[in-house]
Amino acid sequence: MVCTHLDELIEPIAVGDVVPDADARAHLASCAACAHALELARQIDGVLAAQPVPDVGPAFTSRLMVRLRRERWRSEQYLDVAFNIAVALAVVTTVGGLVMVLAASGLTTVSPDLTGLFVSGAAEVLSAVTPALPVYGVAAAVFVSGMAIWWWAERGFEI
Amino acid sequence: MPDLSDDDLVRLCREGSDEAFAELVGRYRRLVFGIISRTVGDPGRAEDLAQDVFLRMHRGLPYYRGTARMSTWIYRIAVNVCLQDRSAPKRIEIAIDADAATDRPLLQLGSKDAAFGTIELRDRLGKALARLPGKYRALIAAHYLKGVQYEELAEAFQLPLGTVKTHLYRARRELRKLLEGELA
Repeated sequence: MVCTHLDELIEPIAVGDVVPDADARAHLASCAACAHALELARQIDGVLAAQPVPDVGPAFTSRLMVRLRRERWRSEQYLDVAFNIAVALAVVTTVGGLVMVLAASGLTTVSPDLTGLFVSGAAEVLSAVTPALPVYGVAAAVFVSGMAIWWWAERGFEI
Repeated sequence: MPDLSDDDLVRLCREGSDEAFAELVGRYRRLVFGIISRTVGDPGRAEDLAQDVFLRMHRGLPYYRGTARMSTWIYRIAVNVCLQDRSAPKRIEIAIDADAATDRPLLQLGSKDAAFGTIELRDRLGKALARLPGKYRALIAAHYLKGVQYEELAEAFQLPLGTVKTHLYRARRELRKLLEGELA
């Protein structure tokens, strides 16, 4: 047996998967390099096998659960956004469809004064509302602030 | 919860129980962290990747059919996460279990002092491990976790049993060659 042949068997012999035959034993007894290689292979196996299993500690689980809840909250947010976009698309599509149906049926051309009627009606409503505009402004600001606080609280506590 | 089987915990997880999932994490965190920390080297990075493993596991629970053992399934996820990680470690920390090390002969490298020789071997072995390809590092890490059988490795790595053994021999031979190169 030559060194290159034995080299293939060093690791299986070192870990006990292969029992060296008489040829291999004779070679190992006469070749210092192969004997050293086998000893080194055994030492590598010994050191690797002697390692304790590392533990990351029980706090790992709580950190993981925080991350899990955060990811869950994010995916719910994505779902909300996707739902809102879908609703907006549905509204736009419905309105577009209605406009197309009206245009196709010729109803929009029945009375050119119809648009004027809506415009004058809107102007009337606006003139009635104008004196109380500051009150509406304050009410809108209170409403928006309330929504902002609710959004902040949900974001802060759901994480 | 500690009395429940893995299958019971999986069923509870599917019903939305975070407590059941935390119990599963507690059972398998050492196994997952053990493989990953020995593959990537950096403990901080290893914890991030270990969390990734459990998050993937959580996402996969609805599809877990229980045909493979839970540990094998988790091994497979951990191995995939390790192999997808592109960071190259500088060295892998090798700790020694004092009880296990006492009955093993000590190798003397350059040093005449046996204890120092072991420390030196650990240090060089840590650097050599870091130079192995990721697949070999993951295989070595999983194989040397206590109680892991070749069959489980074969299932986790999705390789035939003989191929797993061959890869392990090659990985150890490469380690030996790296150490011999350093010693020459």
